[in-house]
Amino acid sequence: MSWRGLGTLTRAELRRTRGALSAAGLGVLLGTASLTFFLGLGLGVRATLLEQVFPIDRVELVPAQSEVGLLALLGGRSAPPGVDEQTAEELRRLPAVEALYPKLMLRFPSMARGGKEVLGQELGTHEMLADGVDPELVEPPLRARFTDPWSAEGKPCVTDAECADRDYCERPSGAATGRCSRPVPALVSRYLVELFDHGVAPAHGLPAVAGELLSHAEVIPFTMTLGNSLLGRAPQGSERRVKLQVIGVSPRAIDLGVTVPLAVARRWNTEYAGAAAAARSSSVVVQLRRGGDASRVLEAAAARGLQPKDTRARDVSVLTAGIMALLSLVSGVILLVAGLNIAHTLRSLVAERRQELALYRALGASAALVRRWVLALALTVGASAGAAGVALAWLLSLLVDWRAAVDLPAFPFKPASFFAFPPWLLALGVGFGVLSALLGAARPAWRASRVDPAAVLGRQDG
Amino acid sequence: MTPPLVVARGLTRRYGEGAAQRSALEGLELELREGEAVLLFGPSGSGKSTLLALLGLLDRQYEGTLEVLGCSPRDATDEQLALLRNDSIGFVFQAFHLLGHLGALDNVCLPAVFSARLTPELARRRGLELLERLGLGGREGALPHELSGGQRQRVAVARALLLSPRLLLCDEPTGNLDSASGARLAELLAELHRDQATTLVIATHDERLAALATRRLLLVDGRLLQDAAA
Repeated sequence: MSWRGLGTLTRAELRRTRGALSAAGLGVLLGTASLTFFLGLGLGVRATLLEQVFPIDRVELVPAQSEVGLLALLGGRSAPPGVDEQTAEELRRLPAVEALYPKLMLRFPSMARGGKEVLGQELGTHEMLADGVDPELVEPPLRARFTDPWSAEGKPCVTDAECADRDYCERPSGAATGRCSRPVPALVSRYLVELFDHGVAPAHGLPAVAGELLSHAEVIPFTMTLGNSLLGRAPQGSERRVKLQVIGVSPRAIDLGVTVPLAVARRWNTEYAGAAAAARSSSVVVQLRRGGDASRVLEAAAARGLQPKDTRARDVSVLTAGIMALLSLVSGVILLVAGLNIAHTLRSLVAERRQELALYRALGASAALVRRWVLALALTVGASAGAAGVALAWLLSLLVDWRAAVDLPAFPFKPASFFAFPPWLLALGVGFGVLSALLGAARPAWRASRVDPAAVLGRQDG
Repeated sequence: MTPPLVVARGLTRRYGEGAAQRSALEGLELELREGEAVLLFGPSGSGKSTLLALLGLLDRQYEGTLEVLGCSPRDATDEQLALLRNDSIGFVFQAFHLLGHLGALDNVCLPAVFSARLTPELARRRGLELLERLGLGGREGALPHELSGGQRQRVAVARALLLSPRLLLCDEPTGNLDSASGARLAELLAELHRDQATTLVIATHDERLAALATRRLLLVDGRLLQDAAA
C-alpha cells in the first residue's frame, strides 16, 4: 500500500468535496469549541475557588464535636478544647503534610469599634471574634508586617496620650505601667469584606470598602476592648482598650472577625483566660503536599480526635466537578450529533463514489487502502474542525475575560481570567474532534471497503 | 516452454443461493500462455465478464482451482491481490470508467497512485508518451466529456498500459464505439500485441477484433464449447 497514494487521493477528495466536508466539520467545530470552552471555564473558576477561596491543599483541623461537648459537660471551663503540641507534632511528621500551623482563638469576651477613616462614621460590634495565626501561614507580602508589636521595645507609659500619634499604651492587666506599642496588625477575610459591601453597607448607606482594602488597607485602624462584651466579662484580667490596624485581606483570616499574630492571641489569652487557654492551639492548619492527600491526613486526624473545620473546599470541588461533567455531557452530545452528521456525509459520499471506488480497487487499491482513505478524510475533517474549535473557544474566552474586566466591578476574588487552558485540555479538544469524526466514519469506511469491483464495473451479465 | 500465465481446472462460479442459484461458469478447463491474444466469444450471459473478473483477481468466490500469474486468488490476501492487479494486470472496460473530474493525463496516471514503482514525475512522462502513441498528443488536459467515445477508450487503454501489465483484460472494448472508432481500437490492440507481446484476453462480440487473435474461445451458458487457434 502506498501512503503517497493515500495522501494524493485524500487531498484530491478534500478539494472536490470541501463544501460538504466543511459543513460536516462545522458540528465538530461547535462541539469541540463548547467542550473546550466549558472545561476551560470550569478549570479556571475551580482554580480560583480552590486556590484562593477554599484552598483544597490546606485543611484546618479542630477537636471533634463530641469531644468538645463531653469536655464541656465534665470539666466546665477548666479544660478548653484544643490541639496539644504532641498531636500537632505527630501530624507534622505525616508524609503527606508539607507544613502545619497552629491557630489560637481568643477565649475571652471582646468588642471593637472603628472605621471612621474610611466610612466617615464609626461602626462597632459588641462581640468580636478573633483568631491568632502563625505568621508563617500568612502570604509573603503581608507576613513581614504581621508580627507582635509587643516584641519591640517601647517607651514606658500609663495612658495612650503618652505615646506617638497612632500608637497606644499596651498595659497588661495588673501592671502599674505599660509601654508604647504600634497597633496590633490584623487581617480580615474577603468573605467579611463581601458581606460588609453587599449586606451591611447598603443597609446603613455606607460606602463599600473593598476598593480601599485592596489598595491601601493601612488606613483602617480600629480599637478593641478586651475582657468585656455584651454577653459578659472575662473571668480574669481588667477591661482595657488596644489599637489594631487592618493590614490587608487574606485567605488565611477567619471569615467573621479579625486575625492577629499567634503570639498576640497567646499573650491576651493568658491575661484574660488563664495559662491553660493559651497552652493548646484551638486548631491547626495543615498544608498538604498534594490536594489528593487530604483523605489520608483526615484519617490520621480522626484517629487523634480531630476533624476538618470546614468542608466547603471539598463541597466546592465536588460541585464544580459535577457542573463540568454536566457541561461536558452537553458538549459530548453535540459531538455525537456531529459524528452522526459526518457519518451521513461520508455515507452519501461513498454511495456517490461507488464506481470510482470500484475503479480504484481494479487499479490496485486494497480494501484496507479504501477504508483508510475514508478514515483519512474523517481524520482531516475532525482534526481541522477540532483545532478550529479549540481556537474558537480560546477566542471566546478572551472576549469573555475582556467583557468581565470592563463590565464587572472589582470584587475580592475577581480573577484576571476566568479560564484555564492547560495543554492537555487543548489536546483533549482536538482529540475529541478527531474521535467523533472517526467514529462517524467507521461504518462508511467499512462499506467503502466492501464495494465489489466486479459487480460495479462489470456488465453483470454473467 | 514458459509456464502458463493462467491455469484453471474445473473453474466454477455460482451466484445466488438455494433454488435461485445459477452457474455463470461451469467446470472450465483453461490454460493461457504469455503472448497469447485470446478472443472470448459468446452470447450475453455466457460468462465472459465473470471469467474476466476471475482472471483479473476481482472475484475470489469460485470453485475448482485457479492460478493467475502464479497466484491462487482464494489463498492470497487482499493486499497481495491488489498489488498483483496494480503491477501486472490491465483492465479496459466497455464503459471506459474514466474519472470525470480528471483530465486525460491524470486518468492515465491513476494506477501510479497505488504503485511504488513509478514516481509521479515518471508516471506523467510515461502517460504523455502513451497518449502521444495512441494519437492523443496535446489532449492530455482534456476532461472525459470533451473527448469522443473513441478517444475516451484510448485514454482507458493508455491507463491500462501505464504500468506495462503482463495481462491485459478487455471487456467489450468496442461495445460503445462507432464502427470507425472500433476499427481504430482493433488496430491499436493488434499493434500493442505485436510490439509488446502483451497477453490479451478480449471478451467481445466484435468480429473486427478477430484479426488480432491467436486463439478463440467460445463460451455458452458458462461452458467452454470451443477452444481453437485462430
